[in-house]
Amino acid sequence: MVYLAAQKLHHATTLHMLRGNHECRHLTEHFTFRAECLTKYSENFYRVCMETFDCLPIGALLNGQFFCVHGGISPEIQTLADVQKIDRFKEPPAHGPLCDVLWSDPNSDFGNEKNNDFFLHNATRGCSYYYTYPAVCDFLNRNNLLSVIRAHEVQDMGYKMYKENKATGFPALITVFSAPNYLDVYQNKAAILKYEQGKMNIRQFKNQEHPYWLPNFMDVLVWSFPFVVEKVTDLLLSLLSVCSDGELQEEVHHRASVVGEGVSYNRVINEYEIVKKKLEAERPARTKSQLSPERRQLINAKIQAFARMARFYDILRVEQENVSKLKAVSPNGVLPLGALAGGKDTLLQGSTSQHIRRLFSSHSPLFFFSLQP
Amino acid sequence: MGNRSTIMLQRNEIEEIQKETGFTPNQIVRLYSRFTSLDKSNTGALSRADFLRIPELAINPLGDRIVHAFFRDCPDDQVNFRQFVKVLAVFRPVKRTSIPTIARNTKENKLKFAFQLYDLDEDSKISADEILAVLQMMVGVNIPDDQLESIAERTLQENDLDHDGFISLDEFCAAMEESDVDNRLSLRFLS
Repeated sequence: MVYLAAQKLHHATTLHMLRGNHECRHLTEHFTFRAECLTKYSENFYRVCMETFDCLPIGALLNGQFFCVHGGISPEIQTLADVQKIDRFKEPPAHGPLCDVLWSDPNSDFGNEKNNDFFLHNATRGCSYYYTYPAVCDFLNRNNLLSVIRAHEVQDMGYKMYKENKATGFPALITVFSAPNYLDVYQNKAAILKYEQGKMNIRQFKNQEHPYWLPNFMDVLVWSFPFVVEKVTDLLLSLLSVCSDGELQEEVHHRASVVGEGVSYNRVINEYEIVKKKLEAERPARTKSQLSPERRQLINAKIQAFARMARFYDILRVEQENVSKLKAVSPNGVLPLGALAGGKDTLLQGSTSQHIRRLFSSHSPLFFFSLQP
Repeated sequence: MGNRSTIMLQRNEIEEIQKETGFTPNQIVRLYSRFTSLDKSNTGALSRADFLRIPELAINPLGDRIVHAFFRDCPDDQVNFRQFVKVLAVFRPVKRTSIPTIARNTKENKLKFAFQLYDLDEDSKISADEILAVLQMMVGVNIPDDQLESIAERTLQENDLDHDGFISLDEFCAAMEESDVDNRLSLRFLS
């Protein structure tokens, strides 16, 4: 921004910048420009930028021949004088000529339209119009122009020449796009148009690597802090966990042998609740300094429950992939009983089709069919 | 080893530790039982080997640094129970109504603990190299070194308010203002 402003000051009468649809409050808030301003500068700086954008001209006439604008033409603009009549010194509204010149696009089958419509509702943008080949030719001919040059749509080659205007033999529309590898994903080339001595030259260029920024312009300390916190608390918790894996496994097997099924967390909690209620009933009689066997049992149950919870969450985190696979296959989106308790092995087991068939064989036959290879 | 624990920890010791750290007697007894089960060699103090035995430590990238925090003020590289509990006391949740003892779990102490994790050479300031070390540990192979260096440089510039080329504890605390340290560096100890 500052660089462009400096250049403009330096070449006030020979450098001109046109407003695009992103040069407004709506989009700068929606994307990251406002955040960047607030992080690096201030709310006031952002306000000044917005006011500058309000002043940007919306169109230019090059050499009396080319109408340059960001988006395209508008049903409410017949002549160049209509463009000059627009009050541009404001936030672009959601409809009207100021919106259209910044937002409109050529129709997808520009030049091959089946009928003679001029403007269609622009579903891609959610506002403004698609203009058609007949519409552009009409505009050009009325105003004695050679072509409309605009941007607004990414182009793989950086530019696009559209169908020639029959009256001139020259493309009625040209799109120029000067940001290479747009959004770091399009991998497009960019182009600039050089018009010198009646000749039009196109220069293409590829992207350069840009400096890496942490998300939300965070600095390393703030950004790394959650990670540091997680690692510290992880370690301290493992330092302090009272049940070792071995003890937990014993518990699981014991209960499994008694009940004959996988152990669920709810079951443990229920048992804990039973003991707790019993204890609450005899509370007045309990002396402070002695750990009665019931109290000991209660504490144990509580600790076991927490240890199991912690282990479950751990397994969930580490085996995310297997868990989501298994969940996706289960009919009600829930893991089968016992899958989580056994850790990675039961989860892997659970996701083989044989085991699934066995577990879910009582459910709808429709589901069973979908498992056939 | 239940009998041994209760013999080794006298009531007056528990009271002292309670005053020093803010833990309740129940919590202290439980922590003691955990301490003794870590102390496999039965020496009454933990060595680095005792910590290294914990499997989670090996996979934790900050493992060394965190263990170092326990040994920081200990002679002979041995952590006795008092020191053990003192370090853990920093992580007690901050309650609005807590009695102001020699409060260990203050926001300042929590921040200091975090600061010491970044300050590898223990010179009480964080240098650009130390910031780079954290970055490399977290993203390492995904981003080229010169990019990481420039991010580290920028972090230093933004937070080094007195322009001495390092981030002091105060500057660190200022940077972490928004980070809700109280709640994040807290563990709920079973009471």
